[in-house]
Amino acid sequence: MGGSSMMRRDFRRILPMSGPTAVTAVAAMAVAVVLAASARPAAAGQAPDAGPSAPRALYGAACASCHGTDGRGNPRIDAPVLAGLSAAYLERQLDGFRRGYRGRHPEDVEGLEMRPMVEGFAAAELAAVGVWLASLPVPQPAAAAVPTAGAEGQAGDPARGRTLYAACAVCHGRSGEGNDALGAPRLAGQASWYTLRQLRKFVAGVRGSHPDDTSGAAMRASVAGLAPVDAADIVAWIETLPGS
Amino acid sequence: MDRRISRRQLLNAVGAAGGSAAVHAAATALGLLPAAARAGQLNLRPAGGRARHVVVIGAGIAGLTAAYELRRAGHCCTVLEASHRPGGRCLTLRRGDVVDELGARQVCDFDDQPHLYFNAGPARIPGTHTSLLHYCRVLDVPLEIFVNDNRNAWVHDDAAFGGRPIRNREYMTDARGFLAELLAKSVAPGALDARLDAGDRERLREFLRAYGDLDASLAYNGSDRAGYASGGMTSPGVKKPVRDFSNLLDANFWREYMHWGELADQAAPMLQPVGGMDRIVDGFMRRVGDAVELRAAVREIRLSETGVEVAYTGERGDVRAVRADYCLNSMPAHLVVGLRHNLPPRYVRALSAPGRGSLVKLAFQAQRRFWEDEQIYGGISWTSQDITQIWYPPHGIHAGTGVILGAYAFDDEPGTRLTRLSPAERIEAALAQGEKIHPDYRRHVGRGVSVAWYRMNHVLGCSTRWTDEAMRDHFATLQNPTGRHYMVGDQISHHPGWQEGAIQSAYHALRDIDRREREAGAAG
Repeated sequence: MGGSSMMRRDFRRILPMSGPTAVTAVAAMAVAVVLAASARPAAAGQAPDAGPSAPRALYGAACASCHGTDGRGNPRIDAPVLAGLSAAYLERQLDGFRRGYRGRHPEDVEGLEMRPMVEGFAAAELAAVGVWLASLPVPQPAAAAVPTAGAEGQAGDPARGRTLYAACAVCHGRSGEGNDALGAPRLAGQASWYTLRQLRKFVAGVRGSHPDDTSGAAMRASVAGLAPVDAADIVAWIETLPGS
Repeated sequence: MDRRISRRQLLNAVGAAGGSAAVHAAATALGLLPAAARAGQLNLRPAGGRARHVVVIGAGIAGLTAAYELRRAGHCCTVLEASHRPGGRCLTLRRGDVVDELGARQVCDFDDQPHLYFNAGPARIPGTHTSLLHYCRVLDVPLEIFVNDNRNAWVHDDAAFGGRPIRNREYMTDARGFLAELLAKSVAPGALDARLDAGDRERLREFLRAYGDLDASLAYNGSDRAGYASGGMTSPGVKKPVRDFSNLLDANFWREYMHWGELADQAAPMLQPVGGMDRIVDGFMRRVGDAVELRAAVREIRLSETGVEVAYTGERGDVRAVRADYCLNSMPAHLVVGLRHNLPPRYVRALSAPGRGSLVKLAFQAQRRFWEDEQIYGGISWTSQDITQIWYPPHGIHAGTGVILGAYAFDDEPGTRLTRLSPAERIEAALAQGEKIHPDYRRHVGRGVSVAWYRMNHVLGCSTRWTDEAMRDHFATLQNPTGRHYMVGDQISHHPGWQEGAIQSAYHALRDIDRREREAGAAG
């Protein structure tokens, strides 16, 4: 009597691109100005409109509610910055959620929230969204300066964190730019609350424990035994690294 | 030759025939004068030569109210709605309707019949919510009585009565009887002298006797208010045995739910639109639907000296923008902070202050209205389990089938537990918990559909959780405009989760715009 079969069958009914082709007409009287894309409000570091509209439409329908405009993240929803992460990293993580090596640990509350989001999408669709997100500029730090959802962000000591970060830089780069060859994501520009929370998850084995998560396992091994105060200091240093 | 009669000519003719009272009545009917101060109504000054363009974000009750009132006053508005449907959380599910939960879309599978619907958002209207009732009146939304409080429904607590449900009326009667007896026997000379004289004390004893249905000796020995164990019609009624008061205390019912019907917003009688709460949305859409653009997800808000620009993504990922004189924004505050914007930092901190509630509602179609066999017609059964409530539909009585609300978890702990389940797991949880109250539940109900508002696309939380501290530090910031941008919605009210709060928040913003325009008009 459950609804699971219905769920599957009509999964795409309200996604864009799947319905009738008529675009909602805008009443002429109601809309004073419909600006052409080139004339829309300009913002610092704004993404160009050119590029694949299918990934953007998919992002708009399935991701934007939580991850915000163009992947800028939203701490109120526990949603990290996605813009500017590498396509390879995004594809691997999305695939991890899809195949179940990420977002399955019972204590990974946010991962468990994310996991069902990718179900029902083809790997190629997810990869295309990743490519599109990777093409977007890393948000300005100010854009992420919203109080975090949890009260877990004690201010760390960036000076101390700079020293500790030397070990992280081997994979993540001196400027936190990331290294696809080593499976290490960009850290600069990521919201600090998120980086700190993930560090804690790796230390606790909430992330990186699944046998299929090879890069996660490497990260977990790297941070084994990391003290909470060290984690906070490292993140305080990463926060000073320019996003782009 | 123009044969049309102007409104002035018509009023002159009416005046000649019926005098000034008739002119006033006719002018009111023509919309030229504000209707006589009927409670709950807004009357914006007609725009005249100062028609303004307002962009409204969100086609929920606040946004639709704003659009309706702005139009009525002669202003122009654009309503941008991110979802595939208008109404926001005013959501009624019927056969084929999509539940746009992130990562877990469901489709309602009820049979296609008028009485088989599920109000997954607001579902009851108190008589004191005058603005909402005003719109029901002017939008031709028929109402019927909604049953909230039902003494024949069940009270269940895993920790009391061996985990078996008892009738609400038994609990209430025995609890009041015990309390009345206890107090009546303590009303002795000397005990309350400072406040009550001898005559008062005697009347207090009579009061308590009536309140608890005590016998002449002021003892509580059970009451037919609890319902008879047997008889009562053609043979004498036999009272039910009195329950042990300590067992009544074991059930947490006394903490809150026992007093539900005492709440101003929950007291009988209540109302519901005939056919579903979204009849109100339909009514608004008949008037302003041409101003509403669906699947228009806002991505950027730019304030300027003279107005607000809003960029949004259309259905195909195309980016469009609207420039308007004002913006009324009913997006959940926690989603506004995920947009690109130039809102001031203090305002952003305020937007980040309220929490996201995790209300969950779940409904089943019942193939048999088994609750009517248990003498339950409408109302609510209460349980200590996560489902918290079971609601019985007050409409479609004796219709055979019905839609029963299998869960309404409004506290965040049970709400969060249910939210974290998949839709199929929620259904199983609701069945397992429901059958503790109705043993044959599983046999009668199916086609479950759940709405976990914390995970609903474009919403991500209901209702808004204002702590006292957040309210003190941030509410006023959001209730006031920043530039020409106004936050609205039930979130910007002291009635979050109620449609009346949404309407009143829109009124608050519209009155301020009215004032600014009047002042600008006078200055200009």
